Amino acid sequence: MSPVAVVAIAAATAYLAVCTAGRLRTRKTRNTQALLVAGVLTTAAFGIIVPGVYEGISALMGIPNAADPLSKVLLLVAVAITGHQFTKAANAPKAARAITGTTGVAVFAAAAAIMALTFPAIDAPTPSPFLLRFLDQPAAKAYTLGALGYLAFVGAVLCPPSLKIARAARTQAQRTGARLLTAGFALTVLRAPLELFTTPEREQLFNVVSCFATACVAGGLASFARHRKQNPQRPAAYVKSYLAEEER
Amino acid sequence: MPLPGAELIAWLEKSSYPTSVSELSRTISIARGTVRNQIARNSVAETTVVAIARAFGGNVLRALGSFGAYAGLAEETRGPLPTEVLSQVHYSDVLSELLARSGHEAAPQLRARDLIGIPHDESVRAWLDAVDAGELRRRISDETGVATNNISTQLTHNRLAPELAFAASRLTGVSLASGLVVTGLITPMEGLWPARAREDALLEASDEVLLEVAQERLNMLQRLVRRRKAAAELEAQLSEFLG
Repeated sequence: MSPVAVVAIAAATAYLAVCTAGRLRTRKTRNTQALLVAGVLTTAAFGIIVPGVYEGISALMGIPNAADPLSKVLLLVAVAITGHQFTKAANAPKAARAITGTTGVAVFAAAAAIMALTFPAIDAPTPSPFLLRFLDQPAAKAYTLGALGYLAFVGAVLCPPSLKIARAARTQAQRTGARLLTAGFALTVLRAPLELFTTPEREQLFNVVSCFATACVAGGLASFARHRKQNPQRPAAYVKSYLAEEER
Repeated sequence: MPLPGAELIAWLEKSSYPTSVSELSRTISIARGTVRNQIARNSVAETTVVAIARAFGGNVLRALGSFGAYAGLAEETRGPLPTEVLSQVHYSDVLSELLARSGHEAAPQLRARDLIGIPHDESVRAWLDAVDAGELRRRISDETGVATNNISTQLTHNRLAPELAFAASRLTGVSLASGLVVTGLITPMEGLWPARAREDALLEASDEVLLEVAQERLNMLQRLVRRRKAAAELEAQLSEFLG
């Protein structure tokens, strides 16, 4: 792994940890806790990839590079939780169905199946974060594409509602948050097709793009959390009725 | 449209005002760096020109008219039309007048109140509607190159950029300063609106006209209240689910 990629991963992990820690101080509700869990999972997913930690976890699991699927699964689950929360916030039922409905579950299952089927087929005897050394193998490429495909799918579904919020939100903090989220989702969508043209050298650069996209999403969500902390308020009628319906 | 720095300097020299950035910024109480950047980047704000003219006791209309973008402003400014003046009366003042005319016991107190100043909530949109003979937003867009949805967004926030307000005045044939008055860039007096024009227009308007104005304003208010409610709900919703 190049020093730039290592710095990017470490910086993204630290930033994610700070954003997640910020959520510990906000009012605890089911919704904020869901995002807290997503934050912890994402931080863990990035932390696992940091060289040193990666080798340690892989050794503990007894399979070289076992840390990679672990990291990817944590990330996919975190993205699904964030996507679900975001569609509720954006009042976007179509997007919600696409992420947590039959389509969403099918895409998640397809991504998981691709990863589960291709990972054992990769000949990777030594630890290498992101399987960089083995990307010339078709199985490794398909495995990475499986994970990136799901992320791109969620990003594509969430882009329109986040853009709508960026235009409609009344406060600066929420507009900034929505713009950052839109940028993060758009980068996630762009990241997946890049994988088709990847080489071990390019992959490091592409992973910096992934780090940046994740930082944008984390920063966007942190902006919403900051706004809530500064403006504690009772939920409006819509939110009350939504929560009441959910409890029923 | 930001004004060119060179035109500002030419106007300052022609008017015998100081051209030193430090002196200007001190006089108009705008940060030195801001004034310097506006000149250097050829993006002098209209508010800066107005502030300079006011600070040195100059005529605001002639000051803005010295710039190519506002050519003819001083010459083609005249009194406002009655509909323009009435459009600048706040809905609560219109309703107070109607209540006073109905013989309500509080009529003397209602009439003794000062009118709510301009620009007030929705004053820009009310003015544009009052002077619009049809398709005005599209014509402003064609004239200035600013997209109609951008114009609508500005109106939603009760704003209109000076060049758009100026273009609207020119396209509708009303006094060229009217748009600048209703957007608050210049005062009604600077725009040659007669003193107490709004009070007189309110008193002189027939019951029928006042009722029509009240109805329009209440419709506008209803839309505003709905928009604010929707925005407040979205804010709460985002806070609840993402905060």
